[in-house]
Amino acid sequence: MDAEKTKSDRILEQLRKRSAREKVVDVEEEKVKLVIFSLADDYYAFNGSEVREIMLPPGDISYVPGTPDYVLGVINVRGDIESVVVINTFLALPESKRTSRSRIAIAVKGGIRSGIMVDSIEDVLDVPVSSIKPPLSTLDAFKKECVTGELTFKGRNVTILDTGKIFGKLAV
Amino acid sequence: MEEGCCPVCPEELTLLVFNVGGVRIAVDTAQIDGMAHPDDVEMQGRETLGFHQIISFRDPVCYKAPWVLQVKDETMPYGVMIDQPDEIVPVNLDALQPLPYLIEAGRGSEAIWGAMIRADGTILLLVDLYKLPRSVPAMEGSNPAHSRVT
Repeated sequence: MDAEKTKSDRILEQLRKRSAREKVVDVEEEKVKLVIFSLADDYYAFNGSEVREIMLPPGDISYVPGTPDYVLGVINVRGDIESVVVINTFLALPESKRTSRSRIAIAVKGGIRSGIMVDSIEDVLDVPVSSIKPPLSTLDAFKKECVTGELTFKGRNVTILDTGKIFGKLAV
Repeated sequence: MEEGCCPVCPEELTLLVFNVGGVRIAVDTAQIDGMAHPDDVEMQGRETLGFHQIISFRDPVCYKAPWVLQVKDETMPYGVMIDQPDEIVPVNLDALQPLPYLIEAGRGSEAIWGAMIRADGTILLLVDLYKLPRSVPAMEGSNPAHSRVT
């Protein structure tokens, strides 16, 4: 009886140690917050630290004459005027249609702040840095420059975009 | 117009608000001599351009109720055709905002220099009429009174 108790105690002790070890691994593993969104049926992500707000597109986006096609216009965000851009063309994607799932992600990087129109926000989550793979070597030059990595989310490939690089391209 | 802390900048602007192609635009009334019907301007022989000819619009522009702003300019007075003059409003400079960086970088014309949010939440684009002619490749020989979009 004592021997069995000892055995169960030993097993329990081992289980506790393993659990504690896993907890230590969890704490130590570096994570990054990602905002996963869809554009033209593909999944993309921005670094969560660069996204200030996700909002429903207002009914009226004020067009600014003379601006390139990727600029949708300006919107009023609680008294501040923000630009809204689309990045489909830069990613060689077809134009998106505005739906009830469309959202504007207000992103900030390198002193540039703008709203980016996306087809939908799929999730905001913390992922281990180790789960992010380097971008595919087959990407074209532009994408390679604007993509920081890839990961799998719900069985689908997610391309992580560098907001700063995209803003840099838009500002040229 | 009152002088502000900077001797050049006033504290308040009086803006004429109007519409072109569905875009709400405001200009400083100090830059305008007056407003006239396009036919009257044509009779005066003053050079006139449609606003859309100076700053390009993505979609075709339709002037439903065209008026011509007579721009105050000693060297080359000219007219700019607008649609539906709305109102004249005094605006404190604190209410004005610079354009967001990506708009400023890609705006195509320096004439659009800022924006303001009205009490109803809508956005007005501020246009400097004195910067408009620089955007026109060929001012001479073009008269929108002849090529008016309706």
